[in-house]
Amino acid sequence: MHAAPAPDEVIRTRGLVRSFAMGSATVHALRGVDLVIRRGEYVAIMGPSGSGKSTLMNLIGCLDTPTAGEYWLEGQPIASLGEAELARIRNREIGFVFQTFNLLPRASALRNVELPLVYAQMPPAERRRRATEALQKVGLGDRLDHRPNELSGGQRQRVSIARALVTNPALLLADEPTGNLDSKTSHEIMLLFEALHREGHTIVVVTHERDIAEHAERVVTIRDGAIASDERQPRPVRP
Amino acid sequence: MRRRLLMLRENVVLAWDTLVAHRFRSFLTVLGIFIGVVLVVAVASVLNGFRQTVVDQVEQFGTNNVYVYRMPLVNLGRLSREMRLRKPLRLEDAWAIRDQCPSVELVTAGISAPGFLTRAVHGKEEVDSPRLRGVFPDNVEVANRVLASGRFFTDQENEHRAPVVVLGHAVAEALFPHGDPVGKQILLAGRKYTVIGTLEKRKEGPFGAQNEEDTLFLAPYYTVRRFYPGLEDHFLAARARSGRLEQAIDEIVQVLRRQRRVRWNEDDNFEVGTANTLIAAFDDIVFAALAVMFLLSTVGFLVGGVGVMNIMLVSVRERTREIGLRKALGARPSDILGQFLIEAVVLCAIGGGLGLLCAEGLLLLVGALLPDLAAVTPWWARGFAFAGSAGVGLFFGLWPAWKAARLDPVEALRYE
Ligand SMILES: Nc1ncnc2c1ncn2[C@@H]1O[C@H](COP(=O)(O)OP(=O)(O)O)[C@@H](O)[C@H]1O
Ligand SMILES: [Mg+2]
Repeated sequence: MHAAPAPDEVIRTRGLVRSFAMGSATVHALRGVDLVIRRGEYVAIMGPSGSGKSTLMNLIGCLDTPTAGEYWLEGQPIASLGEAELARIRNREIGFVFQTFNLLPRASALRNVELPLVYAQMPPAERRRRATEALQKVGLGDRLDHRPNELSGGQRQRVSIARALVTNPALLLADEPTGNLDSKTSHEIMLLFEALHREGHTIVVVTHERDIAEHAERVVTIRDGAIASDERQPRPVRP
Repeated sequence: MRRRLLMLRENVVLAWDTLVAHRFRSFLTVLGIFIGVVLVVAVASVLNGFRQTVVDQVEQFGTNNVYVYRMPLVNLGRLSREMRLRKPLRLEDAWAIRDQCPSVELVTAGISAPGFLTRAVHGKEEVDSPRLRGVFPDNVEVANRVLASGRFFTDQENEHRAPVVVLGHAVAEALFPHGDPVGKQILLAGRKYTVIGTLEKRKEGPFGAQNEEDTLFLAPYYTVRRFYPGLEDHFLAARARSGRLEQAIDEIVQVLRRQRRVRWNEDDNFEVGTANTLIAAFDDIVFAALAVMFLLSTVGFLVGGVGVMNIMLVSVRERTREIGLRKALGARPSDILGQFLIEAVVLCAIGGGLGLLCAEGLLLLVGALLPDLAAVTPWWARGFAFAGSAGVGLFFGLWPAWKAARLDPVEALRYE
């Protein structure tokens, strides 16, 4: 039937369906999504609230399993994997950036960024070195020992991006990364994603805002759990 | 292996941070365990010290001695009818042991005079209910007695029923607070005796109790028989030849069965004891007390354990988002399980450790105030306290930790 995924494909989904049982009713959050994302792409997934963006993101991030359909990450079929292997993939292959940052409140920025490396079972000294580098990369080299409540919203999101980058994953996933930020800070964060894209990172950003999506080189629009359009922008718009 | 240790260290540090952040709540949670440990360690230490003084006391008589009594010395519960009807041990039984037991080096017998409602008097000093024993001269040797002054009585004095007496340390001090008792006369239950010697102090009993041996008045056997012709129940003590304690016991039992006409299918109608059996009998009491204490502390541990389970469930609920985040960042279910299990174990171990510290501090304090208590904390109590509390953490932490490990990452991240 289908040929094996091409080597430069980071993501390939086929007929991805995700339904939730809500009492007697069933909510169809995704109704069959076919999506291919190649290495080095910068993709925005856009759509109104409730259209299924986060659901798709959770499936791509191996946090959730589809009701039907298939998914290959880096050419590897995900359906056959157990919990521990999925955890390993989330740890090594995927970097998550959340709308609400999800930083540990009592831990320093450095400690927060080290967290994925803890689960990669990296020795403390190397962990520290790598986390420091990641924080320097997002411009927080002088905030290593600050706790989240000592940082601004934009800085917190930078910590969270550093945490996503620190394992050097194949894929950076951001679900509404600017949803809790003002427009100036949002713009700075989007510039950071662009810089990361230029360095060669594969990035998927979920948003419901047109001007955020326009930073990406490709915009996939979702409506009612299905892909409505998939457009390549000749070059990113720089307002 | 190295990686496992790394993870373990990580989890212990994490658990410590969490517990410190909630120190008051954490302490309340482990209060049951804390109290259980204090209880175990304090009671075990006191009982152990108690036992040690008894052992010292018993062993002062010599570990090679065999004692024969009509009734068990230590008896939990009522005496049976058979015991109450046992015939007395006679002087002839002692001679039979001397003549027929090759493994016995020395044997000595004695009788106790009733001291109830009588007094020993010297000048203005008095001792109520004096404990007068009629013994043979070799009693000094068998019972390891050491004279402080004067001398013990001789065979001649015994045969001539001389009214002489040797005083235990305590009664010598009571009757003769100033000056040397030797050569003085005392009145004992209305009869005149001449004091010819005094004994060295014996080891004190538990809680600094006076050793009964220090309150004895020792007079020649036949003297006491003359004054109290009705006495018939003897106690016998034999010293086995070196290294032949077991044979000596066998021989004594055989001789006494014959003397007392015990049929082959009947049990002994007398009790034979050594320092060891006395200690063992005492250990039965210690053991019973320990068992009760263990039961109580187990209740403490269980109550504490339920508290720990409850607080861990609360902790898992409060940190649902954190668990979701950790899973999103690559924590395996086993990592989450380990994190919460270790948190529960560390929590309980700290509670147990504090209990241990508190108990030992308390014992030090009590030891300084009441040196006679002589509490000695046994190592097994420390081990039990620590392993027990950590075990409670492991057992009662399992379910909450398992719940945390099973959480769905998406649900957990959406949790408000
Ligand atoms: N765990 C869930 N249980 C029930 N319904 C859900 C669940 N997650 C998402 N949904 C439903 O699926 C649809 C898509 O949700 P979501 O993917 O979060 O949308 P978006 O991120 O685009 O706003 C919504 O109707 C939402 O109510
Ligand atoms: Mg969403």
